[in-house]
Amino acid sequence: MRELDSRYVYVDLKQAQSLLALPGGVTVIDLTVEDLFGADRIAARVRGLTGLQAESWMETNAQLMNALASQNMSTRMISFFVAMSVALGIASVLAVSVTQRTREIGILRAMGTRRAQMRRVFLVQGAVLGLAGSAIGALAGLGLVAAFNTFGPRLFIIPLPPGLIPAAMALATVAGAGAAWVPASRAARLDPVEAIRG
Amino acid sequence: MAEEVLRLEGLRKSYNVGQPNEVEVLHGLDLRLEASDFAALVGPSGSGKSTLLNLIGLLDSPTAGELYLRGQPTRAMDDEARTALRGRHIGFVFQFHHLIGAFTALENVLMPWMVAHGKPTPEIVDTARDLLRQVGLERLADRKPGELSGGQQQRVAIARALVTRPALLLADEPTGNLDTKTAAEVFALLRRFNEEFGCAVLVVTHDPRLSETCDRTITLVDGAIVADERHPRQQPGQRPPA
Repeated sequence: MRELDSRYVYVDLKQAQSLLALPGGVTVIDLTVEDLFGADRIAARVRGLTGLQAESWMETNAQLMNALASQNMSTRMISFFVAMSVALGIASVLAVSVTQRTREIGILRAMGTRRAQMRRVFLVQGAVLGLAGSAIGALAGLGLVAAFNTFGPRLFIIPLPPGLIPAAMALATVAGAGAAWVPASRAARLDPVEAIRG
Repeated sequence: MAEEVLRLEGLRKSYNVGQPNEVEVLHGLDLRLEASDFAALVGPSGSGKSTLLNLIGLLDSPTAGELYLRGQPTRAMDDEARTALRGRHIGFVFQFHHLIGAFTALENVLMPWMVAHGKPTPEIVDTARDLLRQVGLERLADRKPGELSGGQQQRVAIARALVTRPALLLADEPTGNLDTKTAAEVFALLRRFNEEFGCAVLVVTHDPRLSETCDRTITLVDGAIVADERHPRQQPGQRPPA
């Protein structure tokens, strides 16, 4: 915005024509279009109708568009790898937990705990870890966004779509349960005799 | 006729079945336990005591023969059915108490009931507290296992094994990790619950002083029952275990 302000001057058309010694002439006509992403098509049509050089905003700002697309892609990649590392973290925590609790699993099986019940214990633990982690993360994120929007440079605000936090928490919960599947299945498969023996 | 809790008919157990190194560790055992039995299972190391206890506890399945628990044949049962039957009718006490460290003594005692029924009712909580009282730990009900001595932990494990009022209590070297005095106390508790609850007790022990206090001694050698002796019931103090 600052750059735009330093580069552009808005004056009356006639005054500009007189200043630039272009009586009755203009160098550029900017058009506002209703269909933002139809600009390419409209520019081609203008070119065809007038024979003038017509450029859509997407062509003019190709670099910006490219940068935005790259940013979007890198945001998705970061989100994916963060989710992957969280899931692997939960899986490894639970794998260690199953190993450490082998005897407890054995005694629970001896008491009549069914394999499916045993699996459920660890799946729920994975889901709870995902939910609790995402709740803490969401609170921290909310705080940071609020701080940025309140005390930041105020050049722009970070929007927070209403469904984002519940969706992220739901995804983290499902990812936690999914990550727990392998250790949970291992716990369920443990032979109680071997488990008790440790 | 006394109520039969357990019957073994020609029970065999082999490992590595069908392999060149197949080995039979139990050779066609026949045994009957009644609700009033307070029996010791003795024998040298490697005689098959633990294997037999695992089979009786439905933690493992026999290769041949049949095992009846309260009249129900169990050999053809799948894991799910055996697990359910085990939870309903069998209590376990192990050498190492295997209490769950994150839970209090009371919660540990309630665990077998919760596994079968879910959230504990006020009645079962009262039963669990009463069991803790009977093992002398009522005041320590809210302590975690780490805050209890070895003997206290084993007493919690006994209360836990009894909370579902099982028909059969299996104890694998329950005193192996305890000093002589505490071992005698634990044995006395098992004896008392056998008499009060009518719950058959089968104890694996290496300690002849303890096995002598049982009403019955089953001797296993090389995977075969070589002796099954009944003794006259001992009066408290008549033949002290320690």
